[in-house]
Amino acid sequence: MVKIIVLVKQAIDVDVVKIDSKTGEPQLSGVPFKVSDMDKNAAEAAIRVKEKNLGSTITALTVGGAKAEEAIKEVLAMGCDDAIICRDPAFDGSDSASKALILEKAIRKAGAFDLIIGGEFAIDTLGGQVTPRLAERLDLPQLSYATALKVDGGKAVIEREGDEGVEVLEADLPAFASVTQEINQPRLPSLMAILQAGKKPMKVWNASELGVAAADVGKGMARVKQISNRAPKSERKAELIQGDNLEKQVEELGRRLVKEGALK
Amino acid sequence: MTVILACGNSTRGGLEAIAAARALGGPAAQVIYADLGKAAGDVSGFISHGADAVVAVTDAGLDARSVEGFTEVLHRLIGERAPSYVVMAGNKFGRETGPRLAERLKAACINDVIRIHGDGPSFERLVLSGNSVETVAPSTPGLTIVTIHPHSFEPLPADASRKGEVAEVKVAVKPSRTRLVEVKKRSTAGVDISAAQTIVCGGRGFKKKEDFQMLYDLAKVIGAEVGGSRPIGADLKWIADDKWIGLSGKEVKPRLYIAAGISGQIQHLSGIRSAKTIVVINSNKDAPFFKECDYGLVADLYKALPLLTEFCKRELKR
Repeated sequence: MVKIIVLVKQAIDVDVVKIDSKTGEPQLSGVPFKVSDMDKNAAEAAIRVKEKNLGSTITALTVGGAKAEEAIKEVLAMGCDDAIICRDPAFDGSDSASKALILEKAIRKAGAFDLIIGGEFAIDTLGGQVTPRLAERLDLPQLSYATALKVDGGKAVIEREGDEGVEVLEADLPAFASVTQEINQPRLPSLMAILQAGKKPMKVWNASELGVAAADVGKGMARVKQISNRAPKSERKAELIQGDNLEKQVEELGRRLVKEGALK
Repeated sequence: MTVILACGNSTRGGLEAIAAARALGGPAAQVIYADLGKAAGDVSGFISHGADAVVAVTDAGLDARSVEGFTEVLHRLIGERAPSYVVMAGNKFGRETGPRLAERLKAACINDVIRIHGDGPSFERLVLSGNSVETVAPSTPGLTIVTIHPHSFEPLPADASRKGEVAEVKVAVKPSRTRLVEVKKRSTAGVDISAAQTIVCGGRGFKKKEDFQMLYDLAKVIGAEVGGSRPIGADLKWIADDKWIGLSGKEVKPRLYIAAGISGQIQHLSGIRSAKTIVVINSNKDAPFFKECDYGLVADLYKALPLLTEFCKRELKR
């Protein structure tokens, strides 16, 4: 029996972001959100632990705005049992340190747990800070970048890519683990599961319920400020080798590569 | 004087961290390199590559890839040396330890930096899955922890005339709660693809696994490593796990990168940003990869690849 908490972020749907051709800036207003890719991997990893450890429970936890329920329902439909949404106007613009604080308070309020699972980073900010900061706040052993995860005999065991080979790491529970996209293929919930997801227990906690002081979180506490955000201009030649005779085109390509020393 | 603590647990990681620290602080800064890689061998090389001092930390507990142990040691070193910045190597060690350390010190942390502007200073990093680059700066004075992106900072050339103090520090950290059980050596022989000079890479344009032989044939002639895109590595498993190239797979920096049958999703492009010359072969003339390559060939890879292999055999006399 393992009590699992899965961390879920609603991220900008990066696949639909358009770049303004004049300014080079990504146009972020009105862009839809999705569950950050690796967080679905985290939910899937939790569900697989539950399937192997009878009687386990999975709570999905998020710090989220008005549409957080949508993201939470997706992972509930996958197989998480219940959910907690931390929501308060004071949380808007919180940086990773503030989010780690909010999540810590929520986890302590929720009670005992064995394993916290999160994604290695969020697909929109590529930050990767919330989870190690949370592990520090909860004083947990940290198993990062898992490409495999199991719980066995009161221990969490992960595999991950190391410089010399696949590293196998373990820690006694309670522990924290972050997962990569390689770890699994998140399941697609059935229509029935999607319909039932809305009926699963969902709590919403605000700052005062969590015991978070508004002055400790939010935009005013952000430790890092963004100066600009712009798509890089490609410096590639983007030269198409034209022609109607493939053999000659390939030769042309080959000679160019030899000439510039790329092929030798 | 600005004091910058650079840290790493491998030679390459350490040299990149020192180069980044120098980009941040300029020649006037004092760059102290903390080596957490069991201080194997001679660490004075870090001086000639740009550090002003080296602290070689030895402790059995650090062998366990333990974030907790690394955090504890660095926390202590920061207390002693009072740096303005800590620059962590661009690998798992840096990226998982940096934020944890920042939390303990209540410090700002900027993760996965690809470029540093010393005046300001400001830092560039990828966002939106690699589609955009944000420039950020700490908003409050005080210690800032910076972790760098792998391969973004070239080690500085060696200068044998540089001098500096090398100290060995023995520390006793708490026994790690994270234990290294074993390291499984890779099933695939051959070199680490992230270090390869020439790479040929295949994607969904290949109809079946056996057809990857065309890539191996070309690779053999030009001395390349063979890689695959995410669907090939993660979903279809046609290649070993460590040959999958992209944002969440391997990042590569070859002299020549030939992509066949890959459309050029941003996640894939993020893994090859640092390649010198990129060649794209794809039958779909609208593949986004054609805008991000040096040479493009709109062609059926099943015809083009064997022709390229034959050309290379003749031209390179192999």
